[in-house]
Amino acid sequence: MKVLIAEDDANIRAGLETLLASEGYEPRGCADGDSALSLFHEWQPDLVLLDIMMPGMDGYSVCRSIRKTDEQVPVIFISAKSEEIDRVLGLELGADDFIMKPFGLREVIARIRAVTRRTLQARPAATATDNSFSMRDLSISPNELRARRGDSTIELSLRDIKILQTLQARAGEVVSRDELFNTAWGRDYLPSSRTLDQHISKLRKLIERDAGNPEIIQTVHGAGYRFDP
Amino acid sequence: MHHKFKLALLALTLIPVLLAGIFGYQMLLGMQARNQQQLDELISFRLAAIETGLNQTLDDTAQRLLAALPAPISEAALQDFARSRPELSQLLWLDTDGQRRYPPPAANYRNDVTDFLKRSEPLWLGGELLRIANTSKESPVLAPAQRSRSYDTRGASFEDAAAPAATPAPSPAYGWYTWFWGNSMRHLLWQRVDNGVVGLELNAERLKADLIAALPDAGDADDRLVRLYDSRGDVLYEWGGYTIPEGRSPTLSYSLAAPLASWRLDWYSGAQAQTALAQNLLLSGFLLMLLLALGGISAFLLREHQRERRLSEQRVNFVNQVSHELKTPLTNVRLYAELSADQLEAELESDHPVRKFLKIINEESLRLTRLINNVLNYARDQREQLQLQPRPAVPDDIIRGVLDSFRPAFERQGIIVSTDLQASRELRIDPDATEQILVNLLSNIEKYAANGKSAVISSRIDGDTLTIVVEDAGPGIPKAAAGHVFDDFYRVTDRIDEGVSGTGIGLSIARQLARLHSGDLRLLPSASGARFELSLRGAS
Repeated sequence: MKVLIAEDDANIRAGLETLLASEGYEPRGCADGDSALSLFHEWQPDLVLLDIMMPGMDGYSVCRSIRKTDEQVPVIFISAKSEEIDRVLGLELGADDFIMKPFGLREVIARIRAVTRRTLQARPAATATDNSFSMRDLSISPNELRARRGDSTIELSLRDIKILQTLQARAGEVVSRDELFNTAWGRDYLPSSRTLDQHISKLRKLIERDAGNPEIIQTVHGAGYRFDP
Repeated sequence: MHHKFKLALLALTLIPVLLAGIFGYQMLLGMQARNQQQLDELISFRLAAIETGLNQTLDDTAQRLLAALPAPISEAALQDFARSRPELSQLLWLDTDGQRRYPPPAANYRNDVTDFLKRSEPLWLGGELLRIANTSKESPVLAPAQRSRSYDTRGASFEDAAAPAATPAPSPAYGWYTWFWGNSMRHLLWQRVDNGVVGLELNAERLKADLIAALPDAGDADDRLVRLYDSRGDVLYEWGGYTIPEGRSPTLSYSLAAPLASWRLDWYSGAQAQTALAQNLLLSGFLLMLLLALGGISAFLLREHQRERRLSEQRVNFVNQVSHELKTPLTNVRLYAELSADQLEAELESDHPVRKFLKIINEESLRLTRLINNVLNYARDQREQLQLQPRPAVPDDIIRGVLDSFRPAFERQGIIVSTDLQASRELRIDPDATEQILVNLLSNIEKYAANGKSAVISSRIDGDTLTIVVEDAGPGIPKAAAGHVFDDFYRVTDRIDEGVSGTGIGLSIARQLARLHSGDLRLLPSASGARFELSLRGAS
């Protein structure tokens, strides 16, 4: 999923890019409204994060321009001023959500996941087919970015879903680290050697009954990971 | 608020002017009525004096004529008398039997005598004049004292004039008889004589001339005009310099008594109109001055108020700007502290000090966020822009969220929070404002009551009212400070070495937000620790 981030502060932009990348999104940033708009038309992102106060064209105008050609793409506003957020709500710009600065990781993740869920479920393919699948006692719904075990619901990222989808599709087989990496991160991404292991470790904490003794994602030393149905 | 201030100033300017106008006008009316009465009395007095003068003239004429009356009365003597007295028109003599002796019965009379006999027929036919003379009880001179009105300021001449009337005369020796003939009034002076009664008819023109000559000389007094009307309603004479405006009725109309009955004096006064005009002008001038003075004060106050407002707006804008500028670096501190913690999650063992350091950075950035939000809320409140955005929310969820954000800090300080949450129903409230209030209450526990080691939060909903009680086991709030904790910038202790920081606006903002919810934030009496009760009105 491609996410356009329009934010004039370079550090915030970079931080958001890092965060979204680790969630499994494909982020691209720009520092002003005009480049945001041209990037939007050229790149066709699936989600737009818009800061309101930007040099040149402000966030409101960018959103209005986007809405002229695309009524579907989700737009999330970012602002430091609650007054501006009040305006967003009042202007009926067709914004999907907003994030107040200073924001925490969890808040940004929760809001982006919520918007992603709506986007995935609104896709024509999603309504036609239910792509849910099970891994042992875990039932995974990719369109909902959720997994369920009994009564408990587990929130997952896009990347988590991709990893689980890959392992489930090749159930019983060893999926090599490189293969898993390529499907979940993409070939262009050059992570540190530990990125995958770290991510699997975090994912296990979420989905395994006992992260120290994993049942769903098993490590095959020297080869990769495997799901035994 | 600005609008209200303007309205208040307008009211403060207009109400006193209006009241002064109403009272002034009423006073003016009263004064004018009093003046009018005084003027009426004065004019009546003057007119009465004029009447007295006229009567005096009449009486003088009578005395003069009667003194010159020949004695004894004979036809020849009367004829001579008539010729020698130009003020006389005709004479009449009836003897003791009531028989007319003069003008003597004859076959032919001069025209004027024929006319006289014709017009005086009622007097001589059947000896009527003799009967009048014998039965008359009226005093020949009529003093104003006999009229219905009396005056405190009566002059001596009145007393004199009234004196004969006061002394009862059995039957006066002379008197007046007046009657209409043709189109004029005839005056006949009668005198009882040894051989009957003599009647002297006065020359009307001569009498008028005498009476006019007796009128007072009013000079050119231009504040009045007096007119004397005869019985036909013709103006005999007028004096005074006042020009009567079109359609003006006389200030006072005065009917003269007999023998000048049916004569009238009209007094037109210009003074009254001028006085009223002057008073109205004076009142208007006073009101205008008052309006100008109050308007000036109001304008000054308004300008001062606007200046104050502008200054405060500038201050608020500055605070706003600074606060927002702070938010960008703060976002970065928080974002990167969390990203670092996230990144190191897998790499560092759980008791690695760097984890703790990052946690502290994160907590402090949260604290800084709260402080900035407080300042911003305060600034918004100063600009009267603080507005609620009520939407359905479960109060207990808000409480749990706030507690979660404080958990790390409370854990580090060893504060154990117990809860009794019974507000699990959705209520239309502003969740952000509610959160802000709770954050401020919990911040206070973190800052001031950490050594109490425990806190209790309870919630309940009664009807549309949400009540949340937050109490701690800290040192509590001294009685002297209890009344001030909600004041702006008030702090229980300002000592820097206390090691506790704060801006002193947290509770003030919390209460403002509660009151915007038609609720309140109160400090409840408590044996130990501080106990705050928050009540919010929402809609189910």
